[in-house]
Amino acid sequence: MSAATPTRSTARSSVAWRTRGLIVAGFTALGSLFSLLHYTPLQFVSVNLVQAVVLVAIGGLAALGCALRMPLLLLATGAISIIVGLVRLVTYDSTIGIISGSVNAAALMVGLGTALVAIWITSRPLSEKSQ
Amino acid sequence: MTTTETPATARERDVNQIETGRATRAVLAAVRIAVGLMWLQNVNWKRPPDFGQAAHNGLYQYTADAVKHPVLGAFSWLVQNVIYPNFALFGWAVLIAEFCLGAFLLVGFLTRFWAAIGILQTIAITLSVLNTPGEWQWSYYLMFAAQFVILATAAGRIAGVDGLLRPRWSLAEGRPARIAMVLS
Repeated sequence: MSAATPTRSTARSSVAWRTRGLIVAGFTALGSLFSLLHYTPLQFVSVNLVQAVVLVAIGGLAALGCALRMPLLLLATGAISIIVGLVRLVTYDSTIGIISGSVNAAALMVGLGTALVAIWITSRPLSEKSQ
Repeated sequence: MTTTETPATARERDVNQIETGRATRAVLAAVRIAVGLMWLQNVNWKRPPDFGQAAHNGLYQYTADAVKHPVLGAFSWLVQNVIYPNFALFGWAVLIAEFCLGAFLLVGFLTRFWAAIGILQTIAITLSVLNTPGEWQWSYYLMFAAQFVILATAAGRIAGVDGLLRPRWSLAEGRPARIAMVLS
């Protein structure tokens, strides 16, 4: 039998969610680079300064959560990212203070936020009932 | 009842087995991400509150092409009699649908569902602009092709949220998990 011991299996799952979290956190922070790109065919997402700061902050916090083995930080950053994105979607017809910018950057935040929440879910052990 | 398989049939099946190696999986994930980025890039110019109705530009202009350069009579009738009188509502529906298409195809969440929505949206776009002068019809045929590939291969299971959550959904009891399994 090649079944891993619970401790080894937990360690492996911890490495898995932290790696995935770091990848998504990296892409989130890198999304801010679209604010420096002004070549339309490659500007898949239009990111203004506020949205760039939000993407860097969310990516940084999520990476911190992976480094410190605190999956709850992934849930928090994922939820914040989704909320910020949805707020921009429903206010897209106006600019209200710092609530501004493109709706595609908002969609990017909702997508990446969903990924962060999913990674938080996988950081939790499967319940006895569902095994 | 058991079916018998001749050696020739078995060999044919083995020889023609579809490649599922790392390169194939990477390409499928890349196709899904590229289609997600396509929807993301194009959601921006659908601007509320009137979606271009007053200035006859933006989403309104493209929708009007269904009447000016009709592709299908029934669709032109639908645009004139149902969509025009409720254009703001239609605009918000398009904005929200394309927002979700970009967000969720990019990360591979409920991918088969969103690929199906993408195909429906592509039908609407094709019926609006296929006969508009200057349009390259293959743009729309390729959109269909890419989204059918995503739908058929459930590409969110590769480097996507679906791939992370399906093992849990498959073990969970209850309707939401069963629905998520079908839609992913």
